[in-house]
Amino acid sequence: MNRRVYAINKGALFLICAMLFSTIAFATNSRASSRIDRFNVSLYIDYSGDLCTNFYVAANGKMDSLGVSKITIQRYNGSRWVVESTLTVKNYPEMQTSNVSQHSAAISYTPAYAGATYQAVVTAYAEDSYGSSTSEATTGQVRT
Amino acid sequence: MENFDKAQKYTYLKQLSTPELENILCADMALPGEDDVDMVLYIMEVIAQREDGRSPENIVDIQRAKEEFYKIYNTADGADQSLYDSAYRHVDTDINRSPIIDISGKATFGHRKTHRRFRYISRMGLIAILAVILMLGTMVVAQASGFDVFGAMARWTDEVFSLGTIRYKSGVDTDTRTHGNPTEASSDKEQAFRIEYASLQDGLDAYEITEVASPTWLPERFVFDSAYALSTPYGTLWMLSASYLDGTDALNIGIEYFDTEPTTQIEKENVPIETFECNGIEVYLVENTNSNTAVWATEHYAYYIDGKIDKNELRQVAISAIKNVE
Repeated sequence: MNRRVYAINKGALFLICAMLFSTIAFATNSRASSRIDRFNVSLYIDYSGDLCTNFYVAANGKMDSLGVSKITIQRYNGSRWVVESTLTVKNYPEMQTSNVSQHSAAISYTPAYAGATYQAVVTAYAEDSYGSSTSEATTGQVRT
Repeated sequence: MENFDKAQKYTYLKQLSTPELENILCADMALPGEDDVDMVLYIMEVIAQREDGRSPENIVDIQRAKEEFYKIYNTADGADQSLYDSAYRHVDTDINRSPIIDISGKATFGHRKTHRRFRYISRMGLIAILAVILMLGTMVVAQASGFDVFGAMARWTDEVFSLGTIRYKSGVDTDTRTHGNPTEASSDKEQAFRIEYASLQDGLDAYEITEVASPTWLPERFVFDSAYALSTPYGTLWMLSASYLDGTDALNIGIEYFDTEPTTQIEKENVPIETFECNGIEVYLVENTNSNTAVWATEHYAYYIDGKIDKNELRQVAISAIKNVE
């Protein structure tokens, strides 16, 4: 009986340790920003079948430049995520604006594949006279 | 000596059964003048001994019954099975109502059963304790890592807070072979995406939202800058937003509509999250490097107030917004 209790206790201790270590691994996947307060990004399929990335960025003050610097469109190829396209301010000037504390836009992209699963990794960007900050978030997944 | 002789004289009476002894007593009483007082007393003594269950014959019977019970009924094959029907089995689980007829046997059987039950209860208790420890451990670890399991479904890491899923980037490869096409920005789409309002409350009224309200108090130094509603491609509300400025410092308010969970990510410092309750709503105060954010959720909306504002003022703004809901 005592041996069995000891075995069960050992198992419980192992599980708790495993959870603690996984928590530490989870917690290290993060980043910080001294200018960006809040960032929201969502991915949709619009009526024309295009991918539509909505984003909203809030900064703690008026920024010289505020918005997103890059949207990476990723497709799941059955085993891993691959980058299908990277959208930048050069292609989409509306991704950033100046002299504001909040900015939002909806960026459209025509996907290369129908019936595929997509997600977008979006990098928020805020710049003032003292420097710049970035923050990155991944959208939920959609199927074209 | 005289008593010893009498005892020897009536010893044969012990060989007789109780009904036979009772018959002798009746016969003796039916014959006037010939009653043998000593014999009557002896018979009564024998019967009294038998009725108390302490007669040697009874003890032998008891012993025989016990041996028979353990040999025939209390076998390994019959472990945990009742001798009685199912309706009675339930009663049989109560040690105080054990159906065993023999006093000494009952004590022995009850002891074994108590021991078995004790082991069963101990085992179940141990499993229950381990389950509770595991559950509590999981909840405490989850709480410490940013899953607010004791409150709303808020989650945070050292640097990000969200009322929904923390959306950090996972590792990816680059595919250089295939590319889709960047789509030209359409002014129609842009107009459908963003609608400007004169105030946050105007936007709430336009969407007939009564579940949340704009704050009734803001620090005087903050002046209204802009307010707008953002829509999904299907024309449904995604977010209402307003900004207020104090020179270059900003105070932003965002109200996010959600079906399943909010998606907004809030930047934070690696410091504990403060909370307070107002009208039954738990409000989180999240500290960032140069600013603070107050966050709470109602059934359909996540409410955010953030900017260069100290926590006391932020708390007042949040309370005025929560209390402004009818």
